Amino acid sequence: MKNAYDKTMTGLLLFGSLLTLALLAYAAYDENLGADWYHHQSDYRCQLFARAATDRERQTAERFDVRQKQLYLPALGRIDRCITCHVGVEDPSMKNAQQPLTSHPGDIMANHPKEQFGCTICHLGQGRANTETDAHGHVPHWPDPMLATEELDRSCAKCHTQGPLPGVPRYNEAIALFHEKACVSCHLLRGQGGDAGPEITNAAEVDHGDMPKKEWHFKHLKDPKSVVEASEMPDLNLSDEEATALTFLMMSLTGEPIPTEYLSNPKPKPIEMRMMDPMAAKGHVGSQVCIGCHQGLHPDAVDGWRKSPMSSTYERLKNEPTKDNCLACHTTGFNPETGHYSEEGVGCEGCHGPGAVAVKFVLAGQVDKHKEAIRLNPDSTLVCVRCHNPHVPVGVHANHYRKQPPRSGQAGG
Amino acid sequence: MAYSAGRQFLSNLKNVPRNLRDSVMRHGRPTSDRARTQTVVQNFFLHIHPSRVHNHTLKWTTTMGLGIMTTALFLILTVTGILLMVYYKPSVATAFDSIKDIHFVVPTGRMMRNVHRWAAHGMVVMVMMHMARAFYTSAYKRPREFNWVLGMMLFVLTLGLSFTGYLLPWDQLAFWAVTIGSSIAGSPSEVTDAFGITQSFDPGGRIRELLLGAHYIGEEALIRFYTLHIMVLPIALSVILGVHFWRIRKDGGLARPASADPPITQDGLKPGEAPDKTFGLMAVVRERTPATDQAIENTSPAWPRLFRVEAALTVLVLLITVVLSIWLDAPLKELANPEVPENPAKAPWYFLGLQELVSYSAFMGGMVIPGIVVVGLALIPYLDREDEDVGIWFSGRQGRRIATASTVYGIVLSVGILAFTVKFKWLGEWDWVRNLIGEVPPIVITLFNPGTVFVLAAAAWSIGLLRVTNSTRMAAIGLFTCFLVCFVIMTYFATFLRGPNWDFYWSQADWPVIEH
Amino acid sequence: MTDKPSSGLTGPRFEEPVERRDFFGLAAVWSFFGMILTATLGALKLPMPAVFPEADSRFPIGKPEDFPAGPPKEIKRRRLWVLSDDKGIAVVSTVCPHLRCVVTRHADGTFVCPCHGSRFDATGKKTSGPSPRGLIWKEVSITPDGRLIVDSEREVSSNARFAV
Repeated sequence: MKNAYDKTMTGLLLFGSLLTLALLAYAAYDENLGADWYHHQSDYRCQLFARAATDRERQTAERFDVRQKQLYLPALGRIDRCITCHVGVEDPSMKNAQQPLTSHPGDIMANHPKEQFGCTICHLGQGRANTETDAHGHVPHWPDPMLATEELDRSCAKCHTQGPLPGVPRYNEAIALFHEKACVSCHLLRGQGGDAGPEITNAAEVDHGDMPKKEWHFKHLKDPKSVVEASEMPDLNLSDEEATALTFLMMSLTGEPIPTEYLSNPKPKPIEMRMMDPMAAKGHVGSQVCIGCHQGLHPDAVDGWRKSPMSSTYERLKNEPTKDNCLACHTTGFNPETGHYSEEGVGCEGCHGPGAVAVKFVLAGQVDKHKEAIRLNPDSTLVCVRCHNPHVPVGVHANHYRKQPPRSGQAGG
Repeated sequence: MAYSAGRQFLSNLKNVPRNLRDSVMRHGRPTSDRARTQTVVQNFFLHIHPSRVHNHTLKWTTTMGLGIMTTALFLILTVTGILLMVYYKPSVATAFDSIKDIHFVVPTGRMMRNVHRWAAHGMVVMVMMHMARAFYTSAYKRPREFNWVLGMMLFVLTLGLSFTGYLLPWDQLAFWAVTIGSSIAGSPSEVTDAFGITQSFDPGGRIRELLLGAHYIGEEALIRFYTLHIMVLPIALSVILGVHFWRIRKDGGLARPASADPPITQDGLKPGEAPDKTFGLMAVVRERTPATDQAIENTSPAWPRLFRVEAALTVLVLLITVVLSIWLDAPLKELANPEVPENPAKAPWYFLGLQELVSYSAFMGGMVIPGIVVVGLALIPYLDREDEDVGIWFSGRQGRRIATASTVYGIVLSVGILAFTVKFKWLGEWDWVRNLIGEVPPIVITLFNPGTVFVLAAAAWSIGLLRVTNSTRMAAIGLFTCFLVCFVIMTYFATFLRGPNWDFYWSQADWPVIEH
Repeated sequence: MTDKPSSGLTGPRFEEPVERRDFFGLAAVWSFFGMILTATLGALKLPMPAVFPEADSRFPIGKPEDFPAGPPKEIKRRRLWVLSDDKGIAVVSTVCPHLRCVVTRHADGTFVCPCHGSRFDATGKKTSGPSPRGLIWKEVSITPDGRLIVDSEREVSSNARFAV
């Protein structure tokens, strides 16, 4: 009854099963004992035992489990498995070891404990991977391969928004240039800045078609119109070195959300919230924008304002329980209907009027119209008496307004 | 008494293993025909099998084991799918990361995902080949008409399962393939647009909303696809699969030609053999069965021959998927980004033939032609009711010749239409047409495009065959072959020869490089 | 059911053993089941996580200098109190061994469980209540770069202080 077909099937069953069994066994070996990380960790463990002289060192060696390790970083939305291979990063005695067991150079990990920061926030790469090629990210379909060592300083700017920092001259130069050129006059960065140009919070992520991003940013900074025909951005007259430094900074603006507690200079939250309201900022651009140009044009006037009580007048009442009664005079761009304002203290626009239109003119090169748009006739006292009310002398008005009932809908004053 | 009961107890204790075995398997070792029959009919898991199976069924050329392999792949998919569900998180924020974790750190996770992916592709291929086998051996003929329809449902469900699974990794490949696929489902808008009534009557838009739960692919779509993929479609497929098997039994096994069973004369029946016929336990089934009018000489106990085949073929498909899984990882591109379209954005491969047709006309290529194909396939057993012998490949020599001729015709037709379209484009881009009538109305393109030309040419071929051979079966072979050949060529063409912006390229090496 | 065929079903076909299985066939069956078993074992390994989506059970708490002999320090996030005296450092878990409530430390240095009133002295030894034992001391070790590591999954006897 048994024919050739049955024999073929028996043969298929036998050899198919044995072959599948062998392949499954190979896959199991490859995934566990054959994995690279397993070799690296076994190697490290052997070295720990080899140099253990005291009981305590032997205990350290015994406590080292050969298993996959990861840094769980929910605040950053990351899981970094780099330490599955790089097990010696915090072991100073591995200083001269070969990669991947070598210790982390420098003392940066003292301020940036790996349990809090992980690895990929600075180095990039694919944190979830546990094989070298995948983790280092030089593979198809991984957008953020590891940064080369000389590019690493780029990552500082993710959290250190102000500078300067020791040991990273290029970062310091770029940050200084960024403030000197007052880029945020026109560009919004992390919720602060003007709206005349595009937001730059995620400048490093924006796609520019066929051109590599770095090349695009360099060309754009040197001559904006060379890459964006209709660009309104003024020529900044940057040298090649300066453009390179700013390109470096642009490439660090990944736009990824960084939790406030990781920022070197977190901005107080309530102000940000108010500034986010489109009504509050309508027509107002913030003193920062004006200062961007006018600091250079007539620094005395700007510094004079900085030193005057006007610029810091909000500070006087920020702890007052009834301060809502005072906002009309102690802030800029106050909207009595919404209770929002654009800036704390009396800034440029407090006297000169909302600057959005004026900024548009200056960008279009129409300086005359820019001047027209600025409302103030310096001789007019009307603007001043809006707040400097002769009937309520400066010395006593605070007590006067403290007695008013808390503002409800309508601003006092 | 107590002493005796105690002894009894000890003896019972000793006999627990044997009695346990006997109570589970209520028959002896399957060494005799009788015990083998019992092995099958008394086992819950085996009793969907016949107790005896016809020798013709067990010949390689009868089925090539395609149905068994499809079922084996479905089993593999079910097991690996349940395992993947342990770690997969169906949410836009976590889906991609959970697939990365499955790939990198979940024990055996990479293997399971790869096997799942390859088995899914394999099942689509196998179910199509199984359908072609059933068609070419006339296995859809009376009384198996409805089982063919059930098979069509299983085919559609298999495509649905594969397609819904495509979205779950939430990478660029998934996102854009499903963007294309779900837009094909929404293609009736093309016709309503042509009549300018989309504002008031938009069935295409409704279908898309139903599928995606929004007007874009996001959290809602992911959850819908997930639910369909892990529950609705698998349950539907399992139930219909059960009915599919059950009807094979009720229809007396697989289709086989009359010549497979020499009729038994009264003389040929030896007196002592009459009770044999109860072994089939199929007194009520219709048609030719081992039990009613055939001798059991042409049948074998299902145990072990049928089971050996099933086990061997299961091992075969498992082996193939494991080999593929070790050497080729299931793809996982960048995290889905609705801002950056893939170029080219391609649907899953089995829909690429459709995508080629859709590039001519979304409604014709996406709804009408596939609709005609699916409904036409389902109706084959009701339109071709010629009473001829079944279980013979191509119904004999004439059918074989017609299948060969139709293959050649189908190749010439599809390659010709594709080459023409690539070289000369179509109506809307022809200057002389524009000069003649101005802008071509979209409804004209919808009705007259390379896809409809192909369908009309294939239909004409089939009608020609009908008149020449005076046989609906031959006409059906011609039409089915044309469409099968066209499907293969279109799929190949769209997979390998279409590049960015759906332009034609001889090879992927010629694609323009887009750097970021 | 017995192995004996019932009456009527007799004749050589029914009882005669047919086709004794050859070695080849047996090997095929056994290798098939061996393969299925291996695949099943692999599949069963899958639900056992290799890494956990949580902070590592071994974690640094700081340098030994951060814990000079004196009043204990709390590490709230990890539910630990670090006791330090001239004999060394001990890390006491504030999870009550009774039913996993979190004990609170009173001003006098004793620990009290709010759920069922178990009381423990300043070193975690049980003084009263339903808890079967004192508070658990976790193992302390030191990394090669000199930081203290607590292993929350390793217990030590409650007088094994880590000498600094």
